[in-house]
Amino acid sequence: MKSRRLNVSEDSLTTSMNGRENSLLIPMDLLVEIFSWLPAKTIARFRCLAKPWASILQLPYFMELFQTKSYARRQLLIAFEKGNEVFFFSSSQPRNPDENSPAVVANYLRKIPSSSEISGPINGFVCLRLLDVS
Amino acid sequence: MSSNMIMLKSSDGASFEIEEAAARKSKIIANMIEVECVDEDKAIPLQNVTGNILALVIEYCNKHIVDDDDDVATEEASEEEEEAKKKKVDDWEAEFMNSMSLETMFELLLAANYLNIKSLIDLVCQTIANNIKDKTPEEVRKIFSIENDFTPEEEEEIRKENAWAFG
Repeated sequence: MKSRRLNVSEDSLTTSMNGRENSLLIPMDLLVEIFSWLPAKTIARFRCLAKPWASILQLPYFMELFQTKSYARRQLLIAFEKGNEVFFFSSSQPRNPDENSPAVVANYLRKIPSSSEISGPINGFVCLRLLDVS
Repeated sequence: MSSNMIMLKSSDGASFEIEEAAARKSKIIANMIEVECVDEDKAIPLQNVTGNILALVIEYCNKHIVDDDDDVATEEASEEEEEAKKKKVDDWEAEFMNSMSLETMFELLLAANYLNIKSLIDLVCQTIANNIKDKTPEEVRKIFSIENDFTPEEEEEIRKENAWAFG
């Protein structure tokens, strides 16, 4: 693999498997590669791993890597309103949406009050603003 | 097409015979073949790959030569056939990775990287990602031996910034 341009010193980045029996060394570029396959929410959580990761996982280079991967496995976001709430589901995108494709399985994500503001999508992200009605 | 056989030798001395077409999945070996530094009677020594991991790599390569050879035929293949074929490969890959320990996945990833087999790197990375996606930062630090260099205050701050991801 080509070496990556990361603006953090190499020393602090090499991850060793010291605590493990066969003491494997996973090079940084491969760890970055692994993390680029993660869902956006997990990536945000892993920014708390350590300082180098807090910066790497925000680099435009990493974002690009992530976007290429996530674009290849596109998901549909389905929202519908019932009563005072909006329900969100995700589902894998059928290949031929025009044809009579078999039913797709939708995974429930979350619900929000219908008074919330929904903006987007931009590059697959939607912004939900929960308005406090109480 | 005649199928030339190539010998590979693992770091612990195990020898494997593999079809040239399968071995070419590895960019490194393909290059060696191009510049004709592969002697038919001599095994290619792979110092960074143990026998049990090399066996997995060869299993993967053998499974994937067929797909590439079919490129000519695919032009006429219908979309359904394409889809069925892709599903078959996907199923095989899922089965191949299934029940593999994280430890083995790491070794396989390093071997795929050393031998430069892009599609195998992608498959293993994706599987590892799938494996760790629901884990906490503490668990992931342990898996990859990542040292937490935040002060408690800094960690609280960054956790607050990313609070939505902990819900």
